[in-house]
Amino acid sequence: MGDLRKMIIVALVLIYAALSNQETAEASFGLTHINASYKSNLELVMPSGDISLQDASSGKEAKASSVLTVRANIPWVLWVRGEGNTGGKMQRVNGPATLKDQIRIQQTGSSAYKEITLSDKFKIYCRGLAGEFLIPTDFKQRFSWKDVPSDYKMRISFKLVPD
Amino acid sequence: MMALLLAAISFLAAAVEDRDSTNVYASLPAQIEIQVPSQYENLQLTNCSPSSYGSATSGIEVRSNLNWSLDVAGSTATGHMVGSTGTPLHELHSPMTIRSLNPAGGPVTIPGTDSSPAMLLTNIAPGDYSGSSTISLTFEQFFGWNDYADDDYRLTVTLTAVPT
Repeated sequence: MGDLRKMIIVALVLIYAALSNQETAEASFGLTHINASYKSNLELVMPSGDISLQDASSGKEAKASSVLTVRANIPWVLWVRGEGNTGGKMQRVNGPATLKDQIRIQQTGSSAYKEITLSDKFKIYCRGLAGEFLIPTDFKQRFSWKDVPSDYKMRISFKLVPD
Repeated sequence: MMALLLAAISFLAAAVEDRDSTNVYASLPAQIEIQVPSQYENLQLTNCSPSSYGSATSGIEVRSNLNWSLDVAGSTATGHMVGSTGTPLHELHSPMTIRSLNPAGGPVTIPGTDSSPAMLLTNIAPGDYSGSSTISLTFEQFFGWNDYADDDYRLTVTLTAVPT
């Protein structure tokens, strides 16, 4: 009877020890948190150098082509306007006179895009989703017979903003 | 709460906008064009009878982006019409005159190659008569009893638009 009691006590001690060891193993784990801050970004790149409308001629239209690049990681809108408070009209390099008609720009490519007549106020030129976009653009100017023969200039500004 | 506000401000600051601009240049040259519509390239004077005037109407189109004038000159030495028969060739005794309507000009006697061209219109502003509008011209020729009858009197008139 004394041996039986001893055996029972030993068995209970072993069971307790086994259970204690199991609990210690389950508690052994760790966590790591990784964070990133990817800020919204907009980038507008225009080709270097000025744009020259070749073969200007009264009663006809002259055109020059260029490519704008937009890089954005959010939806974007590209606005455009003519500088100089001339109502979107090219101005004589040496004088205040302007051409009769405004300068126009148009996105070119496989789709048909709407033509934008420039003015002093910003107008929406085009818009898009996140990504990198090449925007082929035509700059157009019609010359009237009433336009004085001379050299003309206009500064065109583009503004890229979140949509 | 403060952290959220700062995060929102930071987002707005990063996504503000980007700007760029370009200069566009054009050089418009001085230009002047004159055209005689095909229906007026060969004119036939009507009412050609002794002691009266034969006449024909014509027109020209001028496009110019600077002030211009219109010169006229005849193809013969005197500017008179010359026939096709006779030795020497018959020549009308009276000169031909030309006038224009809208703008009004003339009448001007058509000079020959021995003289300087005559100016029919002077200092017309650019664009005033450009495009599809045609400047009407009238040619008049007096036939006298002393002019020999000839079926083929001719004169070529050169119209020249010149910058002024």
